[in-house]
Amino acid sequence: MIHFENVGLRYGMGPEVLRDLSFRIEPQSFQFLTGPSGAGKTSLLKLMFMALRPTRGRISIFGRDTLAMTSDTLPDARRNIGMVFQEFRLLDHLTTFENVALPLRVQGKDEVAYRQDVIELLKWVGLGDRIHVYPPVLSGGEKQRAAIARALISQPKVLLADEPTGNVDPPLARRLLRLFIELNSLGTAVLIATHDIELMKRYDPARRLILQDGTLSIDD
Amino acid sequence: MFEIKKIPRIKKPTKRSQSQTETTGAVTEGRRSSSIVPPDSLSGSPLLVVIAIMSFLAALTIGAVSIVQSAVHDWQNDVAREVTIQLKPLVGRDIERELTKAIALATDTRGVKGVRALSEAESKALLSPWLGSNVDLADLPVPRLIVVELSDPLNADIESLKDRLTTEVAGAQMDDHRVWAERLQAMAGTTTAGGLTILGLVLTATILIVIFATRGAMNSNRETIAVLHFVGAANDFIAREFQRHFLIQGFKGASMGGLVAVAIFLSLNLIEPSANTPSGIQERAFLGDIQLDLWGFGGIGLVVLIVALFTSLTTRLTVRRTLRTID
Repeated sequence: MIHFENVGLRYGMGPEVLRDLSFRIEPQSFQFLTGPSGAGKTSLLKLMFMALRPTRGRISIFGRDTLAMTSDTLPDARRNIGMVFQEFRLLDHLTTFENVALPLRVQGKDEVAYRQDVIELLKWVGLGDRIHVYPPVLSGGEKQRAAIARALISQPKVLLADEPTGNVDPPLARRLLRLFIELNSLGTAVLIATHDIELMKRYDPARRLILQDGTLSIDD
Repeated sequence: MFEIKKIPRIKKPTKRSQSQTETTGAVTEGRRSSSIVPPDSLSGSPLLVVIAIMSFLAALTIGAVSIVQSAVHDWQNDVAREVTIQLKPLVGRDIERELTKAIALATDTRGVKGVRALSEAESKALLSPWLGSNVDLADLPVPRLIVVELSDPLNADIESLKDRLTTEVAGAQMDDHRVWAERLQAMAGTTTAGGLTILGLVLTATILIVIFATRGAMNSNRETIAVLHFVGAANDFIAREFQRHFLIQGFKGASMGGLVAVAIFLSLNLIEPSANTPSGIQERAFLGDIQLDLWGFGGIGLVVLIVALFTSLTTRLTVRRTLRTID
């Protein structure tokens, strides 16, 4: 589904922050991406999400080379990837409902067609009573759940989550992990970037991608 | 705390789910989806005011050009419907006999509605503004004038009348006011060209202002644009959202400017110049009734639409160009 082949990344004229990365994200797989702070986890996620282009190597996503993608083909590819950002990146002027519905709205879908799905999903992540609340008044955990709901609403083939439990307390982190596992059991490939070892221990079957000094090792 | 339950299946809408939506829709019912572009980031009211001012100036220009055009049209109509025959007094010729011949020729001409000869007293009265009222005109050879009113200026046989007057009436000279009409036409053309130039400058300034406002709005909305890209929005969608927002701003501003201009023209009707004062008489003679006709109102309406449309198109192009640089 996602295939990295000798990928390297540098910012400007600086040193390579990611070196010789080669791995695959298979359909319906579950993996943690871990490593110390500054190891390049977020940069790697950005490459997978096509927010950055590699300075060398080849990335293929859903069978298409990312370097060959244009602004016309990029949106379609991104609609198959759900992204949960560490800093949530909810739009403050839209309600929780509107934020979660955003991926469907940008596809030109009618609100009547998706309203029920969004409400059900919000209830599922425990935000049923926060539908018309704006992000600035949501707690960190609520924002995180709204961000997750937004990533899931368009039923992506793969979900990328950047430190999804970084802003929540341990009980909520465990609940979020169960949510991701449930999602994975329904067929979505999941990749969670985290340095929360306790969280990773709670789901042993997951594969671990370990980033250290810009290079990747895989612990199956 | 929320409980993890079975993940809801996101399904395609069916008739049943739509009716369910209508019941649960109470939570969203009556609310319009918010604009994706934050409303407070569009240089909101300053842009609205600038567009209103620009539209006001454009509408004022259109109105003024329309009034001048209408006045020129009236003058030309008046002038074209009249021909003047001048009879110079010649030694040895009876001017009254020549006058009768000229009147007969004019009356027989096709397209002539009426012929009236000015009396000697009326002719002399015309000279008094130049020569003063104390001058004795009895011994002066004052020409006599015949006013020929045309029923149909286009089909009147003026050339034939001119030829016959030259050959059959001594001292006759015909003036069809062509020079005057040509000057009027030139003046009307100059006024229109000046108005269109001002209109062009105002529209250009509006476009430039909208470009700067759009760029500013996009710079302050980089995060929103980035999020839209991340959730799979195509550049076309983002451009459409910005365009819709600016179209509303443009239409509001242009309507405000247009309405103020219309109000000014309507109020000019209320303070019509007095027919009793010299300045009032001159003003009325020069411009007629200062009021906007349907073309003038239509022109102002068109300006409002054009400004709103230009605002919207400029936004779309600027957004698309900026998005290409972001990509």
